[in-house]
Order: sequence, then structure tokens, then C-alpha cells
Amino acid sequence: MASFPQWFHRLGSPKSFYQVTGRWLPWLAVTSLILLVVGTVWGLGFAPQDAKQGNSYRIIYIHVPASFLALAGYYVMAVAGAVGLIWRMKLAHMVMKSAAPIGAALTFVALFTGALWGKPTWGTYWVWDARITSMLVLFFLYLGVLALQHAYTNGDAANKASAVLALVGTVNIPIIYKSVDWWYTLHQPATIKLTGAPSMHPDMFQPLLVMIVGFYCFYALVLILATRAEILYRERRTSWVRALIIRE
Amino acid sequence: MLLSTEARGGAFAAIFRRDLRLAFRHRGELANPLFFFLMVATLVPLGVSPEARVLAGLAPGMIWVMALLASLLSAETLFVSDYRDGSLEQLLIAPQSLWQLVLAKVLAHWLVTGLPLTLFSPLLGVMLSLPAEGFLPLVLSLAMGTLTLSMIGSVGAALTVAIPRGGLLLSLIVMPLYMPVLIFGASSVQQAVDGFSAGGTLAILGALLAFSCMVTPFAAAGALRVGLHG
Amino acid sequence: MFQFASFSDFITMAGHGPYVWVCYLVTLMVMIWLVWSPLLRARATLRTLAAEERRRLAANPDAVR
Repeated sequence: MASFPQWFHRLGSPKSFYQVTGRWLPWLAVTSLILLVVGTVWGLGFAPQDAKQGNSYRIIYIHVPASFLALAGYYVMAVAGAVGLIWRMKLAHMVMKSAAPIGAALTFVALFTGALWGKPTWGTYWVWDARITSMLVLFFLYLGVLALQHAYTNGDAANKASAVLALVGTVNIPIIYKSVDWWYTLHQPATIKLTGAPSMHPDMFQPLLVMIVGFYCFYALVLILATRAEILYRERRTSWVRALIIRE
Repeated sequence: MLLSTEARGGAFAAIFRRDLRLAFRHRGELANPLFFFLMVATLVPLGVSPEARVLAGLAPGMIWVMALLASLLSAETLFVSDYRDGSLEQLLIAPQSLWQLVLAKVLAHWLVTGLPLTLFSPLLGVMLSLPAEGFLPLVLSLAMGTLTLSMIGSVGAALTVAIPRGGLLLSLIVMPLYMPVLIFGASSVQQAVDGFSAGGTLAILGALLAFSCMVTPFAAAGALRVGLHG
Repeated sequence: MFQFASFSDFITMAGHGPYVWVCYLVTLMVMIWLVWSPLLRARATLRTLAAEERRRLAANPDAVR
């Protein structure tokens, strides 16, 4: 019976990660696709119109899942970085590097869809409310990690430095969110929840649930795909990768 | 450079004194962030409006933003000259804990960058028509805030020390971390101007400073060990 | 049941059409990029590796595969 540390370290082997995920990837891809398509069609075409917001609220079927994943993705990145720093696990560093652009892209989607939702609903593309401002700062945190990763020429130092930065950012996220929230209530005594979703009727809420799960599956899918690409690149001198090219 | 622990106060004091001495040798450079601070204050009336009423409304936030930018400018200089002449490597292999030495450097750095900003801020208050109630909270908030900013900046400086032209990258990575300090600093002044008590907000600034004191020396020390092999 | 009277109503979405559709399209493009770029990168790595291997064997036919 392999002890926990052994199992943990075997999990961290890039080769076994590559092989295991290779088997499950098609299922994950199909599941994500089905969930996203069902959620999209349902949300766009079959969920009822909102009394106040009309049809523009249908953007939340992207905006809300993207926002959740933008934040969750940062923690994935930071935890991967921490695991890489503490246990010197190569795979963890690869996951962290892959998670950064994915999280940044989803944060961009959240900001973009939020802006386009705001225009027809509240008359303006951009408003400095607590949630949007916090999401913007999250985007900056991602950009910082990406910029730092690319500035280092030494790959090992790049891994560690971006992990340190991601961890420092993690500590700051609650502080930033709380302070922006506090700042906003200071300047907006009339607590109009400008970016609140409409009060959700179950018929509106169910497709949202499907989209949220679909987005999580999609995130896992693209994270695994990106990590596999990173593994192939970093392990290109090993025999098992060379064995792959013969099969190509 | 010998880190003799027989010296009074040990290695911490030795680094502290050394950094202050080095800073004063380049007295001209010391004044740069200060001149920046003063000159940017002139940009606001030129770019926005010279009317006292308008300036008074903007003053709390603007002075704080300018102090933040001046801090950002000087954050770059924390480790760079030591990196260039090799003394940073010496610090890394010294027997004393790196976080103590980092803390000493940050304090010395703040004394010659953040503290002058804080002491000159009333002058800016006058130039930007800051109402009288704002002056005390301005100085108090800047005193605590610039020290916090220096500490946060040290982490960024450590991460970018070996990167050529790392200054811009430093600004990028440190800016989001600066924002809570800015929010509470500017708000404390604004609250006093609006007639409310700024005590609570200043207390939060103090808490942020205490938290930075606990966390940033270790984060910067870790970052230095990593960052030196850029 | 389907919320719109006709397909053109579905597209216009009572005036909110451009906003909703641009959102969904941009998101779709981002998602496609997130799936496609790692696949492209993996293939490029393997191709470069295969080319190196061919050069190595061409230079030294007795080398171990």
C-alpha cells in the first residue's frame, strides 16, 4: 500500500498526469460542450424575459460564470504556485503557468460582458462600483503575474518568482475587495445595487446553474490542455515524449 | 562589507546606518521624488482648473495619488544599487536572517523617501486649497501610508531586481497592492474635510501597516532569493 | 417554451440584440482560442522534436532511435 507521500509524488509526475488526462480528456470535452450548448440555448432562447431588464439580462449567463472562474482561477494559480514552491513539484509549476493566461482571459470576458450588460441596462458601459472595480484590480493582478513570468529568462526563477507574486496577490485579494467595497459605500450612500442580477426566478436560475457547471468543466478542460502542452515542451528531452513523436 | 554583530544593535543597525550613509552621499538624488511630488502638484491646476473650489474637492485624493506615484518611482531604488555592486549577494549569504536585513533597508529607504513626502504634504495642501481640517489627517495618513507603500514596494523591488528596465514591471505588479492603502489614506483626509472623524479610517491604515510589517519582510526576503537569479 | 415570436425577433432581442450577441460571440472566440492555442503548441513541440530526430538520424544513421 503506497503511503500518502508516495501517492502524492506519483501524482506530481508530469508523465502520469499526461497519460491519465489523455484518457479522460474526451469525456471532459464532451461534457463541457453539452453543458455549455444546453445552457446557452436555454438561457438565450427559453428563459423568460426579465420585467425590468428585458433581454439584456441574458448576458449574465456568461458574465456570472466567468466572474466566478476569474476569481477561482486566481486561487487555482496561487495554490499551484504554493505547491510548486513548497514541495518543488514540477507539475505544480506547469499548472500555475497554464492557469495564468486562462484566468486573465476569463477576467477579461467578465469585464467585457459586464460593460456590455451595463449599457442597455443602466445606460453606461463603465461604472466604478465595488464589484466591477474589484474585478478590474483582479485583472491587473493577473497581468502582473503574466508580465513577471515573461520577464525572467531563467525558467526555474520564473516559476518561483511568479509563485511568490501570486501568493502575495492572494493575501491581498480579500483586502482589496473589502476596501473597494467600503470605498464604494462611502461614495454611494443610496445603496443601489447597480450590478445586481435581477431577482432570479427559477426559470432564469436553472440555465445559469447549467452554465456555471459548464464553465467549470470548460476551465478544467482548457487548464488540462494547456498543462499538457507545457509538459510536452518542458519534458521534450525525456524518452516518453520522444516515444510520442514516433507515433505522430 | 562586514556584518559584525558586535556593533551596537547588531546587523539590523549596521545595515540601517549603512543605507542612510549611502543615501546621504547622493543627497542630490534624495530630492528627486520630492521634486516630482511638488511638480506634479502643479500639473493638477494646469490640467484641471485653478479654482480653489474645484481644487479643494480634489485635493485629498490628488495629494494621495501623487504621493503614491512618488513612492512608486523611488521603490525601484531599494535594491538595485546593491545588486549592481554585488553587496546584495553578500546580504543573502550573511548569517543573520534576511528578513531583518530587508526590514532595515526598507526603514532606511522610507526615512529618505516617504518621510520627506509626508513632511512636505502640508505645502501641497496649501497649493491645492485643502481645507484646514484635512491637514492633520493628511500628515498622519501619509506617515503610515508611505511606510506601508515602501514595504509593499520592497516585495516588487525584490522580484524585479535582476530584470533589466524592471521599473515599469515593478509598477505593474505593485499597483494593485497599493490600492487599499490609497483608498483608506485618501478617505481619511476626505472624511475629515467633510466634517467626520477620520479616526476609524486612520486606525485601519495602522492595521494595514502592522500587517505589512509582519508579512512583507518575509515575502521580500523570499523574493530576493528567487529574484537574484533572473 | 421559446421566448421569441420569430427568428428575427430572436436576433434583435427587442433592441438588446447587439449587446447580447456581441457578448456571446466574443466569449465564443475567447473560448475557442483557449482550446486551440494549447493544442497548436503541443503539435508544434512534437513537430519540432520529430524534425530534430530526423536530422539526428540523417547525420548518424547508426544512432539509436
